Amino acid sequence: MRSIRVTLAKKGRAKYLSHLDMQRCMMRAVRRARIELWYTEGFNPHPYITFALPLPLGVESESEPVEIRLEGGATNEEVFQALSAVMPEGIEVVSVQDSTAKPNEIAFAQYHIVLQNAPALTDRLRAALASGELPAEKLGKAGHKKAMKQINCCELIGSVTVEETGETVEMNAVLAAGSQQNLSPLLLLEALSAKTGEELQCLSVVRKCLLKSDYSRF
Amino acid sequence: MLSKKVEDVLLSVQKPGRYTGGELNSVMKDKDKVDIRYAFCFPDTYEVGMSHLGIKILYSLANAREDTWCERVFAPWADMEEKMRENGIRLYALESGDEISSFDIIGFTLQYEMSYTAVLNMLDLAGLPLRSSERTDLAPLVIAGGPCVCNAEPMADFIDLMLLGEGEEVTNDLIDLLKEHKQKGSSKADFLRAAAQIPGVYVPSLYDVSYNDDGTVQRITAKDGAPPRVTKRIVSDLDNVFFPADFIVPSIEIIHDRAVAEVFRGCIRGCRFCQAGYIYRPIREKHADVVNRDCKNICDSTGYDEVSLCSLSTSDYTELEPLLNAMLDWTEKERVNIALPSQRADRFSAQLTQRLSSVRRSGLTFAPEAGTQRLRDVINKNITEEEILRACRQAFEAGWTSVKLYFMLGLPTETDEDIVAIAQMAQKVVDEFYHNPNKPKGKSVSVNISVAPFVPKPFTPFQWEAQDTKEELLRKQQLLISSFTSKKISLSRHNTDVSFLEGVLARGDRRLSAVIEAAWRKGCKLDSWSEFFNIDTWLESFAACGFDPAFYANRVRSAEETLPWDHLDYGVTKAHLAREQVRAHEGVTTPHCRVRCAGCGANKLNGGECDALYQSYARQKGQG
Repeated sequence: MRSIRVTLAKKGRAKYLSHLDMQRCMMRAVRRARIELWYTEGFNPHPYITFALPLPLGVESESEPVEIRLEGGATNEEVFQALSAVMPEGIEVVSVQDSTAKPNEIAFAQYHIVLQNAPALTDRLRAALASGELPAEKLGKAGHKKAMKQINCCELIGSVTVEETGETVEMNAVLAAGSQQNLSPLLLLEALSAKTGEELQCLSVVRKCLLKSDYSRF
Repeated sequence: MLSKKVEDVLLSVQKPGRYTGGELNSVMKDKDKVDIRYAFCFPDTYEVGMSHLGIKILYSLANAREDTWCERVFAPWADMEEKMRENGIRLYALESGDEISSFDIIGFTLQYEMSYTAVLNMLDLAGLPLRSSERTDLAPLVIAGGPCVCNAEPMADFIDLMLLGEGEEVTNDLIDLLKEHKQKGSSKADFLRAAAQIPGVYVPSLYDVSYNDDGTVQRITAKDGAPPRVTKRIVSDLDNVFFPADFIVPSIEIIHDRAVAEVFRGCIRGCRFCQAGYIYRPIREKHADVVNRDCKNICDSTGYDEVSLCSLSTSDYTELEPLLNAMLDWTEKERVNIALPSQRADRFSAQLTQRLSSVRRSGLTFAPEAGTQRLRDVINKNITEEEILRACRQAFEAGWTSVKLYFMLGLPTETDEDIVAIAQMAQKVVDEFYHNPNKPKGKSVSVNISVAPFVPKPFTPFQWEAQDTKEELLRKQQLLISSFTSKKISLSRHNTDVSFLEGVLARGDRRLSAVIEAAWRKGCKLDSWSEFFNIDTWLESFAACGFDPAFYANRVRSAEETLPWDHLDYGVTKAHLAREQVRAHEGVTTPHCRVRCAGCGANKLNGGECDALYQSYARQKGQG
């Protein structure tokens, strides 16, 4: 058995697929590619195909790492070729490498956000982000139950830039990501809408990459 | 491709993957290079429609033609419908994203009566007039097929033409003719008159129906050269019939998310309540090597890890054993499960079922249908209590801990004793579990009893029977609940109002078109979903149009009465159905078709041939 990391890009219509849809989709792609998989032992054997970090529905991505455990002697290049030939529209194989890092090393994700411009929007967004207070509500755990939790988005932002480009406003944001702390770019936009009083018209959100705590690539 | 308008609303609706298209194996073509654009519509949600085998076959079949582009359309859920209406988005096809109002054919598959209002809603969302008479141009032609068209008279005012029986050949005939008439610039009326000459094509507007004073049908008269009786189409040679080598792989989870292959059409059993058992005759089997090839192709091209062998009663497939042996050669290696739905309790083998699915163990389902032997004889189920208990015993010994049993309430001649016997049988199944010396430690059994109200359907021996009233069905459900003796037994019931309406529409005449339209105008649109079903709205619509639904559901019809579907011929003769009705009331069973041919008449559709007929002769010869 050996572990590989398949890095996927998710574009266009594929952004409407949920995390669970993506898992099913990958499982079938691997079967179509006839890649020999390692199966768990026990009563209900299943293959190991795990996405490093769920991608929110509606967000595109240039780099989604998936860990897959293989049996047999296929090389990374062979897996790349076989998988690339069978992927559905919008999901591309970017690379296949040996798996080294563990998902718990993920600390941040970098997003590129494009918004429809509005009067003085850039300044208002910058002011909101600099205020240190960007309250939002998210579904979290309270003991065993799920409950709505108040968070301050500003505490979960690594860095963020806002640039006006004529018709649009572009943001580059590094947001907390991973199993400990996580801020969805869509939630950030909601919080910004509430704070600025401007119904933000989002044109696209793309996850560029995942980062470790020292800001190096995951 | 998705339009900007659609993209703008997708993130504000649930499961946007329903509305995007772009799935693996979906077919893209250049619209300027095809002659016919065909919108294949399933009047229910994406998850339901994409689970249906017929759409997969006919989609691939139409797209195999260079001159045709067939695309899929489903009913939007209420949230999407609202966004569509708000933003002026008309119903579009998933492949091209183009509005279907500009297509040549809009085809609906009518799988159940409760989808009728969804058809109207989809036509309206497409921006088209509902009534055939108000759509004066040749395009788009609105057609329908599927089991319900054996009596879709209640939809007669909305549908331009219906395709009776199996769609593989008649779809091609129809496209050929339409292409010719489109090039000639024919009027819709000219085309419909010509189409009515294709065997299996039923054009409702070419038939006049008159009524007696008591509301029953007096006469159905064909006009403009249409045939007095329309005979359903069948495909004679199933080994060479078109079957897709790939399926669209839905990106979101659907209800039956797996590969499916058909093993035979028709049914040998002759259960007297079962419409499918009669309207899909005669029996035609596919050879095991053909089915095996179909299964392998689809699993390879989709990546599915489960394949279902589909038919009305798969354990009756004569080549089941060779097929499974051939399939296990590759399915075990590739970790593909084989699902055998619709297994009969008398043919069940726990060992076999276990071997087929190496990974998951789903629950088991059997269908005794009635609680007593007497009533099972009336409906010709031909299964004994001992056979059911033996199947359960085997399953428990093999480690299953849950079984589901299907029953019907309100069958003809049913008494309270028959209902109490359902509870008694459930208790015996529970007892079987505890009598098993090797029962798994610390595990308990669960026996789920599902009871559905019996709905009499056209082209069955019970087509003349009265359906139980709602009050009677509710009383019977209560009686059943009070008869249960164990907490291991759970009950699922169907909504009696839904069954009532289903019964009305199933045996309705074309005057009910007005009622369906009225109900849709009052907001009925997805009646198969409890979220949207509202019986009061329907009852108001019947009253407003001046019809009594009980006339259709709860009335016994006489043998002499002209039935609204008497001008349609599904092979099985009315005389055979009448004989079976008499035998039902005498409590006499009819052996299945391989034991002895009962002379249903369906073999005339296939030049006198029926796969079961050979086997029944062979058997009699062997005995003689």
